[in-house]
Amino acid sequence: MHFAQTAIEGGHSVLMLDVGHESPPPVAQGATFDELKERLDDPVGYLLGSDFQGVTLPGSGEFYGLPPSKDFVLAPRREYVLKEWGFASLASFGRGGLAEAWTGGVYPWTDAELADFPFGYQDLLPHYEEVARRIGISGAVDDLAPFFPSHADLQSPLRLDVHSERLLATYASRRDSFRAGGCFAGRSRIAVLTAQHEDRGPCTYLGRCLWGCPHAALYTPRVTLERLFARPEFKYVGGSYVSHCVWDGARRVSGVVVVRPDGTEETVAADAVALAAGALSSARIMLESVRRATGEVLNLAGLMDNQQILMPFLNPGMIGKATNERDYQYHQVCLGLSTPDPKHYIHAQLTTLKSAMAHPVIQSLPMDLASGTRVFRLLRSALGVANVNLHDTRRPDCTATLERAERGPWKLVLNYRPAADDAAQISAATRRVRAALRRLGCLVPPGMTHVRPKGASVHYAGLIPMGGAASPLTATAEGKSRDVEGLYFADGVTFPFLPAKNITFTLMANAVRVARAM
Amino acid sequence: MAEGGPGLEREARMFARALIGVQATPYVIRQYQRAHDSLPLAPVNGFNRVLMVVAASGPTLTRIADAYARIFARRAILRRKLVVMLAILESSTPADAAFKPRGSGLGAWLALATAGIGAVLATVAGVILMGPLHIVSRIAAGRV
Repeated sequence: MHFAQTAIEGGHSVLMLDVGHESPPPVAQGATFDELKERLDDPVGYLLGSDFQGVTLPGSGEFYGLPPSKDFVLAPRREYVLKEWGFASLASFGRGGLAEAWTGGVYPWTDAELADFPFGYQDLLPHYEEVARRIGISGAVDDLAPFFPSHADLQSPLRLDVHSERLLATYASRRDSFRAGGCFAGRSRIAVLTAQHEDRGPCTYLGRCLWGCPHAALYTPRVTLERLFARPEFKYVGGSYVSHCVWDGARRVSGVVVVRPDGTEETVAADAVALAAGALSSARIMLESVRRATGEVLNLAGLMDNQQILMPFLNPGMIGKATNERDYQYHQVCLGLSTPDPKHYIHAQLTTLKSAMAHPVIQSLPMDLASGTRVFRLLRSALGVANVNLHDTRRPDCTATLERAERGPWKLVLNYRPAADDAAQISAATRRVRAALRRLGCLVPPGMTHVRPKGASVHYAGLIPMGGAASPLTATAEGKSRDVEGLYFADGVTFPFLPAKNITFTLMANAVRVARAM
Repeated sequence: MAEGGPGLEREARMFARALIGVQATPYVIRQYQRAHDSLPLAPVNGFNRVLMVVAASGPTLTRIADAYARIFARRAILRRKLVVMLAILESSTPADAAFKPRGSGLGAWLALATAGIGAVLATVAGVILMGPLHIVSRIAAGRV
């Protein structure tokens, strides 16, 4: 989206080819989460889905999945066939992509985190600021500023929920001791408005962010897409699954081949092609393009994704405290844990439980469901979860390639092997976050910490790295393919390193940077 | 156990009472029946059947069977059905009130202790009642 907007502002015309499954329209726009149950004719249909796909049955492994209103984000496309080893990826063919289901964390990366990139923070800063100006970001410059450099266009932070306020107050009362231990706390930086921004109003605290903000106060890429629809230089063709790029004898790109919903293939001519399908799909398109052009099946190395660890916690000081159903639903507090090598910074977002479905938590309690429901009500305002993120590096044994069973379709094959020190990293991070939570007055119940499978964070990156030596299957610092003239990469496929902090803000800023350099 | 509409209706009423002590509304019953068309809530055989028979005998026995299943048969059909009912109840009014925060100060801690004791008693009763039935069921199935 941001590549397209920037390219148009730079005088180009843009044709966007996208599968683009559409989202359902928002319902009961002014209703809070609880009011939805009164105002909707069929609240169960909305909250749990027409096929009850929103029910978390015992043994599902995750506390929460996407709600039915976000089913379009992960709706499949039959041409995309995948085989994975050691990886559990998600792919989106929804209009707006995976960020339609994000939690809005926007954190600029530091010079240390960009050390492997062909540019530093100051080079990226104007592009971060351009994105901040477009999408609207709220937050504060606090103790986390060394980890989240400040930038222009930062709106004041959201009103804190009671539990988050207590966590930050506890941190403030022991601030020196926390900092001495390399633990820093502060406000999350989030793509949520707290003041009017163009045609979007501020957050009205309906507590239904997970189901989709009905006022678009929480930014998603569809906001930008809606603006692009108003531009005469922009054309959008939905239902288009990009199979591969085509190029001429001089290896200059001449267009792409798309598969229409009825299965027919069509070549679409273009002067330049920018792949922004997400790291996995962009890599697949590149692999398929080479296979179609040369018959060669390549192997791309360096697949990355953040390891995530979910640590439910209980704050005994919150037991019996009132909660407000009119609260922002996602994380409002972050923990930053410094490390000897600043590239290996550990990032944790703390989400306190406000409006949410209760049954996934109740069934995880070690008791019958009736007792669990009583206990849950009493503990509800004291519960939260820390989402801990770790960095990842490009390694030769984490790969993407194509494979075909006899007469079957070509499949994208992903192979991910954890780093040699993976278990030690997880263990050290878990220990440090648990200790930090304890000092914040919280308990981490034993046995409930969940190390998510590799690929679950959907922060994919790294298969066609930018910068570095001019070798095949790499990109220039400006995101241009070194293999095919006129082909650009505008997503995470070119990232040579993956810091612990959420990727999306840097994806957007880099897309702006690549488009401006075109 | 309850394989048809009336059976599921009885089951829905029983489970709503057992879980949060309310009468299931016609809407809740309808949704519970509809969930059986979409979710893996069958087949009810072997020990699953034993659990369902016990659970269908009254709200207290539902809790006892569930407490046992939580530890020894976490993915049992009974437990899945109860989770489905829980999800439906929390998604609809007026039952959703039973999931909202409650208690304050010392009262909250006392209520917590009471709920904890109730959970322990249900589990002990479950082990005493369901344990032998589980063993017999496994023997009958030739798995011991």
